[in-house]
Amino acid sequence: MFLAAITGRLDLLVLALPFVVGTAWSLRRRPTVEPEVTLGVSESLVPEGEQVRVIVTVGNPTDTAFDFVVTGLRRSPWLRMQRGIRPYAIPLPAGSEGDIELDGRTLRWGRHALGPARAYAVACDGLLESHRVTTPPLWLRVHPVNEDFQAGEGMPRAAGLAGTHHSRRPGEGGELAGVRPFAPGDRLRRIDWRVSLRTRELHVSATLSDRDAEVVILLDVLHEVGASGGVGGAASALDTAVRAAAGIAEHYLHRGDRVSLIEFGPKFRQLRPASGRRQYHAVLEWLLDITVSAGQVDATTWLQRPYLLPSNALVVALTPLVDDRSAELLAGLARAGRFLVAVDTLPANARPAAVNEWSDVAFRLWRLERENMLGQLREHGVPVVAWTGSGSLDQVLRDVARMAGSARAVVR
Amino acid sequence: MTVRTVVFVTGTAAILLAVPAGYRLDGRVMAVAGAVAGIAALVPRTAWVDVVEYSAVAVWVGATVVEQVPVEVPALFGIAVMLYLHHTFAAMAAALPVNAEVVPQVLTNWAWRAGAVLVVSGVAGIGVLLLPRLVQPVSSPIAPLVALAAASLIGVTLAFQLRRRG
Repeated sequence: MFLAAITGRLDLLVLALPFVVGTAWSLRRRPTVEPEVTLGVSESLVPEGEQVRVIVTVGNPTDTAFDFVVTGLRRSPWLRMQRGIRPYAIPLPAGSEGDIELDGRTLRWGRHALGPARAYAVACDGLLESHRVTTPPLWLRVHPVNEDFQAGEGMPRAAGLAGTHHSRRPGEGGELAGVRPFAPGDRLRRIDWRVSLRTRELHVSATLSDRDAEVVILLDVLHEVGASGGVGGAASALDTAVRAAAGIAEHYLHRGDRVSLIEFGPKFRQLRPASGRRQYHAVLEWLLDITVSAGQVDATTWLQRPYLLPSNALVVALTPLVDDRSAELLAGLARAGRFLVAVDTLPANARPAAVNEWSDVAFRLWRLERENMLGQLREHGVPVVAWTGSGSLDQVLRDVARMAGSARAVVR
Repeated sequence: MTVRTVVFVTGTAAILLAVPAGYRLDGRVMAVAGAVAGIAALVPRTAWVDVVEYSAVAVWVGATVVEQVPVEVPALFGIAVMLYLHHTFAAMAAALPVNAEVVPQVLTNWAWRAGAVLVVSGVAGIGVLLLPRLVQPVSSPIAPLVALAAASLIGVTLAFQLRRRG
């Protein structure tokens, strides 16, 4: 335009005219504040593998239209979004709001970050660009899918006052223990009239009391083994442990038992024993925070913590058994006379990446050492079974229950 | 990618339209025009966009002054349209991330606005070109100064508008 004015060339003025008109037109009104952005989710609590809808809402609080607003969303890799990985640009008229709905699927249990969401607005034909507006991230809680678990066997030693397990103690219950002569204090409805008439002396039916039991699920979090492929994919040791823990807890809680969870790791996380539906939700919530904690922890010191494990509880230890400390812990529990079942969570196909020609040999040696360790644990009286889901613990629970009925030798 | 393609095409077209008609289909000219416009399309947030636009104007001035090519109105309007489209879509590309998913309405709104600006500018441009036929030319030494002052005033006003807050 200046060149046109100096030289007097009208053709140059024609070339400059769209720029002058466009700029003047664009700047006649301009927004004064930044866009608003909020992040929402259809449900903050979803199971693994379920669909979840993320809603990013951007608002234009001004009386001037934004040409477009660009939004971007960061997310955990365990949330697979059908759309929304790329930044998204939408037009936003004055005083309006726009929703960007992103459907996705949760791939793995845990607490997953959703966000932060970022947005910036462009106005006046691209002449103005706002600052980036950022929202704090949302945390999506993804519950583990329960590994199907059923155990037909009774508990080794039922301890509570009410429940569904037949105990070995006489008391009010449904399981017939025998018939005995009437004694003061016996309820009249317990009189066995048939035997009483035959013997001409009052007899009552004696029953075994129904008791509940306590199950302690012990999760070894010292190491993660194998790569997690999410729900439907390959399961890492921690995946198997968490899903199995959820399945075992649900099974026993459904039967009225008390369940507690405890981590074998430096953090000493523990969930107090309780029963019922509320405890099941507490278990799922507690499992969300399971992470690998390869810190300093000693099995002997760990076992010496007071009130750690009730003496009558069934301890189900979920461990990949790749650390000597885990084996020491199991051996220690067995020596202390605990009712213990060890569940091997090491993935069947787990193996380190081959770095040289000796990798394969080293891995085979390590497997042999591990087999040796498992054999030693069995000699200590620790039943070790691989996790195979429903019914996988039946055989060992039967053995543990039988051993509970016999005399025990306890190392003190 | 669509926006960047428009930037590339309009930038190349602006330079080629500025070149005298005899050179437009020359392979080397096309290659240079395409290369410069291509760089501007790849990095629209840089001064390469200005390089393309100033190059087109410089080539046009050079052709008309040095080569004495007569000013053809269709070519002149063509360059003006291409330069503005290049400019506005480069501004859009600069504000959009490369991998952005853009709602089609954003593009259509932008195109409509650019079209409206071009129509208004076109009418004004015709008026500018017809001005010497309607008004008696004034041969005064202060005329360029008045024109320069007017241009400066417009420039300063637009710059102030752009930088003001609120």
